[in-house]
Amino acid sequence: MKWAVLGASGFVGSRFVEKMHLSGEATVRPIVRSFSSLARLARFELDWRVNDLTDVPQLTQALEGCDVLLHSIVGDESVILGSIPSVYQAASQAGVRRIVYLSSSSVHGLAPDISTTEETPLSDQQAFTYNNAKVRAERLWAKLRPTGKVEVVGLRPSIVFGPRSRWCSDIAQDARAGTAYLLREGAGICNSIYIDNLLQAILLAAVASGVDGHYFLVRDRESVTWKDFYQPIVEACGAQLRDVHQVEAPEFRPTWQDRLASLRASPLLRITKPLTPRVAIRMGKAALEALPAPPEPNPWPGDGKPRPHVTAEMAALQQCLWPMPCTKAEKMLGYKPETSFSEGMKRSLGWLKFAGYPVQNVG
Amino acid sequence: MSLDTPAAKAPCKIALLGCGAVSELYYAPALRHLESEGAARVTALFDPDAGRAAKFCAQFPQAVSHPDESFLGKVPLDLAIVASPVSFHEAHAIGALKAGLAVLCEKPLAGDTKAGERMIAAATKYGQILAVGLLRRFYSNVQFTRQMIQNKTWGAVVSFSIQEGGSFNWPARSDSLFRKETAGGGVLIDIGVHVLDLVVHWFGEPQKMVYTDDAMGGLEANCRVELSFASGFKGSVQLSRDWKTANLYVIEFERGTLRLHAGDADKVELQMRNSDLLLEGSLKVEPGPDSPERAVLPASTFPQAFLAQIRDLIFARQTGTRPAIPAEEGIRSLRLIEQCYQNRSLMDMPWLTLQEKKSSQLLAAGGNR
Repeated sequence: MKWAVLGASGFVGSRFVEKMHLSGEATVRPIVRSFSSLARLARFELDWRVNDLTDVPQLTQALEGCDVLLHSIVGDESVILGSIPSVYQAASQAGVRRIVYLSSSSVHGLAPDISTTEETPLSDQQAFTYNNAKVRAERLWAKLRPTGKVEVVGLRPSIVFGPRSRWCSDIAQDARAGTAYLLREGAGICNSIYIDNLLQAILLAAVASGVDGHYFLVRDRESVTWKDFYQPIVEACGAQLRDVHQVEAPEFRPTWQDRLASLRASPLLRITKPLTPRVAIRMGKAALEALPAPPEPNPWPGDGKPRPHVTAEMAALQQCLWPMPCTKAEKMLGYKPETSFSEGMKRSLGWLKFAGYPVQNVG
Repeated sequence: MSLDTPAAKAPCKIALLGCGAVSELYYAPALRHLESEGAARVTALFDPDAGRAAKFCAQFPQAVSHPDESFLGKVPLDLAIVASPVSFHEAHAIGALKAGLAVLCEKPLAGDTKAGERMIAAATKYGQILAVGLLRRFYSNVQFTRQMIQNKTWGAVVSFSIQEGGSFNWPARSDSLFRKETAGGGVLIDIGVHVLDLVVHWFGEPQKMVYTDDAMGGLEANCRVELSFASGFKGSVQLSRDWKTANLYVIEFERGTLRLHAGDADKVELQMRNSDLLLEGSLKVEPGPDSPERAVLPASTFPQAFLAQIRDLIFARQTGTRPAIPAEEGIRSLRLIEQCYQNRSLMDMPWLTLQEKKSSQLLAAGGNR
């Protein structure tokens, strides 16, 4: 089977290319948006393409001969949504059989309600713009599907970890800096998935029958808490779980920049913006610039000890109480994650060492 | 004494060969600055892409764009800057030397040491200066480090570790940097040529090296060099264009530690042994009675260093003196890089499965999966 991989230089895409090329399970054609994205892929001799993903004729040519397309592009809303129509059109013209789209469990929110499944209705009015973008992307694929023959299957992983995962590197950095933190003593559900388990699900999604238009929640077979996730990383960094700050979830109030970003992304503004006179836009910008500067920092220093910086994203994630069910993926895709959480974490710590993090007692 | 601006001399007439990203981002602004000072005048340009050459001509009103290299020797020039792809360095530099010009060659000096040696031989034959753009040697913190090592200010060197690199973000205009046949190497030749130059500049040639990288049929994105030196100390260099490293140089001396952050030109961190206090500071030039005479002052920033390498060559050309970084210096790191590639083995990648590891070994050895 021949795969085209969009987003091939990213965390998931690059491991997919690496694994397929080394294992021989499939032939891969990485497609990236800039030459500089080739640095990581160029470790192998590959038939890569550098494409503007909105250029349908060029992209069609790049997809020629590919059976399946992995869409694993990361970015802001314009990037996530911007390429989808042209990719679908090019894939149709090139005769691609199926697109495996990498969505995210965040379409259900970062701390979804208990009993959430794939069939739970989605909202694009969530607090996080990324979540809304992923919801809109799923809707866009559904809208495009009747226009062509290419099937679309989506996966909704949550905390994907492994080599080159920001989850591992960020926690390692925080642990070394003394700023790592846990909410609710780390009892929240992490919904982790080791990257090779995700790749397994991707491969299954490419061949399973009767799954066109379906989305699947996928995770590791173990129900991993945030404490389980932090502990091995923190210990490899020479600290102990007791060194990790235990914090309460702060109240996050959106700043005017957040509100502005949200407003910019709103469908209403996208429609009305071209109709808004330039003078009004300029006046609006000037008014924003005239807002008072933020208050001066407190001149009286603290004790100099490191303090955690709790982000809204992490606070929400760590309050998740629901292990996302993989029942649908098990039943329709035959998904049975092969790599255990502990093995996945061992390999991830091995990567941290490879990447130069001063981790200890690692394989 | 500083001879920073070679004033009262006619502007040095310069040819720029190669109008790619490095010329656009660095050489063009540096040369415009030198033109504004009256120290230089760009009078000739060459790039096989006529459109790019024309774009540069617009920045240098007195420059003429030439369709090929045959203008060398036919138009009056003093100095050539070779900023073409590395595979053209030899031909362009030798052509300019033969035409009686001093040459500043962008790093790496050449694709391999044999080509570099031929370039040096040409410089000798034609009696011209050939310098190489290893501009970090102009950084004040690089010079400070060398002084600390040579003067044994805090005793002898005990060990060192260097980590440099991050996710690749150079605005490459083609995939030539990522193809074996055109790039000549991966991160080692890209960043390593600077880093290994500092290693030999500070510590001298290593006695022994162990080199590993992650190329599996292509070009390495990560590599590691373990070095041992005759006086008994060891060091390590880790480079990446895959993942952000600490970007930190740490040199342990008998009585303390010196740290430099990659990208800083004038900052140092010093920590005495058995102390939990660390001094962070910026260097400035304070000439004393025993200060060496300098053609250019130590640089506090990257742009200053970029200018310094050109000023240094202009000064050397005008005074008949030796440039700060002649090609003989540039070839030292190139030799180390060649030794690394000749003795390479695959890095351990603990996340690969057993089957993947077997394939990776085969591919790294030049075979098929």
